[in-house]
Amino acid sequence: MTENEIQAVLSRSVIEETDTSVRLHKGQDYPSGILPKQGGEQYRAIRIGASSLVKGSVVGNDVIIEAAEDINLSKSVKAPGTEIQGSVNSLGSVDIGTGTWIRGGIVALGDVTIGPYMTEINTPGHVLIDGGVSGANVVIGDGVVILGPVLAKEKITIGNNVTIRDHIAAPEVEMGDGCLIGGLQAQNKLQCGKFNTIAASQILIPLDNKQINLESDIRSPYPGCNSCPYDPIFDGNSEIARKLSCHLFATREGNKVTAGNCTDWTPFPLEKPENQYNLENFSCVSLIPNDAVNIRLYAEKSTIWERGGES
Amino acid sequence: MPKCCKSIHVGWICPVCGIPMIITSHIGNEPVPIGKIKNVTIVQGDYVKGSVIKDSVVMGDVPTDTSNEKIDAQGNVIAGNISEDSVILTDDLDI
Repeated sequence: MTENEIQAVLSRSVIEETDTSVRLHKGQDYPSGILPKQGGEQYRAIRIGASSLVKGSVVGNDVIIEAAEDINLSKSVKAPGTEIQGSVNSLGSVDIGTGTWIRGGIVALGDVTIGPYMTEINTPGHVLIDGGVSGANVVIGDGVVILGPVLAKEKITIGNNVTIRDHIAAPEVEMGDGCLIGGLQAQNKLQCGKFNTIAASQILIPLDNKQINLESDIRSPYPGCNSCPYDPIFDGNSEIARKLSCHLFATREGNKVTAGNCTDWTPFPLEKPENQYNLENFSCVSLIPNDAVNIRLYAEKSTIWERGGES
Repeated sequence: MPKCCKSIHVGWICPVCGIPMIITSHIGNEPVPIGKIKNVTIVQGDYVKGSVIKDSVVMGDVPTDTSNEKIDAQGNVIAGNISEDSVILTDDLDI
């Protein structure tokens, strides 16, 4: 670098901070988390510009991560989207735009809204959250992939083709079509679309049947997929994860989900009293027989699905 | 939702081929010497249009003696090689 070139360089971290707000501009690389350095700064509103990188966690009041844009970085490569290399922690609400990868989780006292995962756009369209999500109300857009649990104090609203690898729990749960969920606890109300899969072999649903509205049966991979008629197709190390997202159970075209070729999958027996027992606040629907004594016999084959293929 | 084998899918691994979904990591955005930027236009001292910068603050003086570069401190925006919403700070900053 010559002397002239040193005279003016682009800033590595472009951020505007006031007592009440923090603004990270588009396409920037912030070398640490956006954290309060003194008392009161935890209440700042935080806005992270499109396709930026934050190398740490974010703590503030309302947090907005803008949807990714088509931005060139300094190395003449396209920004792959927005990346938060930590968690998002909010004393207010959180709004996550399309094209975002959060390597931690999201915790908010208020509502959490997560934009959709989009494939047919020219800007980064993924939405991946490695950790869990928690808030008062949680709204998850179509196609989002969340690898942790999702908890809400009031309601969880899930779009179509959403993946949540872990459990979801809320007083009220509303789910679209074609979702893959690790487990389910819905205390007061459950609304569910078509061709959804829940990996756990036991789910907790409202005691009151009138508060349950299902458009079709929910698939349980246990026990039907333990003896899959298409086993040779899935042979390999990722067999469990592939069967969970099975393309033979449901076919996806755009946002439309239709039945696949397979008819050997197991539905959760929500209509069969012999497969249910009541707890204090829930009804437990179980694919493990109520009178099972040797629970390990069933656990071995059922929990492989909850673990998603992890040993 | 992830897309693989010409089809969208749920989960973190394509059910058809078994390849995990891949998200490209952000490589960061390194400082760029202003001397390397061609056809720079500064509009009222507030905006910089260049080939590689976008929404970035420029610290220090923009060199005026670079022989092969076109710098217009008063002119209009030059088309192409766009960089927007950038700010030039002429004072030395202790960063």
